[in-house]
Amino acid sequence: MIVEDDEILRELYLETISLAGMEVIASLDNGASAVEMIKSGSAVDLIIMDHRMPGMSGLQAIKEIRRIRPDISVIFATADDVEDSVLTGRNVVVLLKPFGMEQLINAVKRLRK
Amino acid sequence: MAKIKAEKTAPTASTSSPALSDDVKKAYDLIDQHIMIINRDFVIEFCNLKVLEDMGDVTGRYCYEAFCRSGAPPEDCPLKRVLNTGSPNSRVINHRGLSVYATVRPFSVDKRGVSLFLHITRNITPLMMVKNDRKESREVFEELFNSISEPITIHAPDYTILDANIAALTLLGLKKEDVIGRKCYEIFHHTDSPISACPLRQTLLKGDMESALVGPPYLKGHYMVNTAPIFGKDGEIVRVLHLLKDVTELKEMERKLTRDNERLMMFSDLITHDMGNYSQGALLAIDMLLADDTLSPRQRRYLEMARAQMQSASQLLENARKLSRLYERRVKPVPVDAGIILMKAISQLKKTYARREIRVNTEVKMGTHTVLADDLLFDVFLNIMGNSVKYTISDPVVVDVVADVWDEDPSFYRFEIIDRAGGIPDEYKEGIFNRFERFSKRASGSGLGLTLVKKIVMNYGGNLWVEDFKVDGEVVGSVFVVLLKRG
Repeated sequence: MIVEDDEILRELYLETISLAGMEVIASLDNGASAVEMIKSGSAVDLIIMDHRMPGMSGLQAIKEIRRIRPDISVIFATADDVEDSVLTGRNVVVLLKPFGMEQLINAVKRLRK
Repeated sequence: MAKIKAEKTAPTASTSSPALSDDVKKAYDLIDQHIMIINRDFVIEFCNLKVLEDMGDVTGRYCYEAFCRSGAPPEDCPLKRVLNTGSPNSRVINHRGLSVYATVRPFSVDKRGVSLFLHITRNITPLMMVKNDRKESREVFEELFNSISEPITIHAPDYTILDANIAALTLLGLKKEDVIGRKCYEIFHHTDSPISACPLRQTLLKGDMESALVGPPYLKGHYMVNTAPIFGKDGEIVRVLHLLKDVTELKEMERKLTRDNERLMMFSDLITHDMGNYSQGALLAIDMLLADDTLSPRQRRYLEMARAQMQSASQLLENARKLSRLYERRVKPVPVDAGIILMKAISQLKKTYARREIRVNTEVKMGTHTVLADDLLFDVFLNIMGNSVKYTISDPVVVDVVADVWDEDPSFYRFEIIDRAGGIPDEYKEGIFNRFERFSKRASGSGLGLTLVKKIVMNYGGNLWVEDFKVDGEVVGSVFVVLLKRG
């Protein structure tokens, strides 16, 4: 799942993940929709989550999602210097923008191991 | 009664008086005060030994002539008052630099039917001098008190205002009589009890100086109130000094600073967040194109140049974020193992400059040097060693890292990062830690690196500077000295 309010970045993430041979089942522009989708039982196992988005922030969305699905892996793609306990642990990678394609693919591969 | 001229002879006893027995006269002679019996015609009938010693025999003379040096009794003559009222009377007489306290009381009526009066005087000149000194001290105090431009009031421990200087009265727009005796909270805060932030209350509770910022609307400004206790002989608080300092201008500057800071935060946010997002799109788009195998060498070269620029922008953003953390004082030094951090930095250095042959010689290992720092120490080591690589023209790049307890202050470790990059001219040694200043165009970069490194080290309570590295007296490189507090 890709959650990013910038349309260009959503497209580029989608392209990168596809190039790496993985399937993107949802590309959303806000955190609240992502939470709703997880609530509805979507079979997502990894989320690329932006931080600053209109409405619910990415950090808040991760907290909500983790309550429902603690096992879900997260790539927190942010341009901000964010510190929070939810961003620590084995199934989280924080990528500070701007990062390259290789970094993104490596992070995805690491979390899917 | 005929006036008898007093003769100056050495006195041995008091003069005779028909109204006094010899025993009484002897008793009066023993008293160290001027005692006289004067009749209703102001004629001195008797004087004791003290009068004889100090003034000679004045018996038979008019008292106003002998004492007041006047031709008639003065207006405030105590005897005159006694004659009028029949009651004792006293007064202070100042004469020829002396001050005497004179008491006159009806004494008796002698055999002749003449009314007699006892006239006792006591020399109070020393007392009057003390009194005058006090008066003078009080006047000096008042003058000083009122010349101070800060409003000052003096309070009793029950919050009653005992005194107020002119500045305080001007500020309050009140007269002294409107203020003295009133409770300070009534006058200053228009309340019927002390306000919660009242520093005077704190001073009374703690017995120490206190201060608080207040800004009652009617005073039109902000004031720093300082209170100080004045203790009595037994250590109890007898007075509290209450001083107001107008800090309106300072508050205005503070507001301006806050506004400026908010603007800076906004610019910082624009750079780190918005630029981060835009760069993200550009970097991924470049990577997409570079993934295309059909690119011509020329196309690939230009795309790689664009990517290198984006990476520099990325590093700049990363540095800006770290600086922001430092300026917001979110960095708190804790004991860390400098050896582990150095090893990580060396590893990263070799990855970053994979095409260079890098040799880092060090005896700083895990567990050898604990310092007060945090994870940004990694950036300190990496940045300094990275500079060594950038400025060393030919391989191998040799860097030595040594550390020892600093001779000048054993509470610090002195880390030395030594390169062979040719050294830095003296005129640039300080400038390299300034933003955008590079002494050589050989290396690329945002120029924020060493500025950030210095800021980080200073934030740890340490220091950073550069010295020459000499071999056989010749400068061959630089020694970056990093002082870090031992953890």
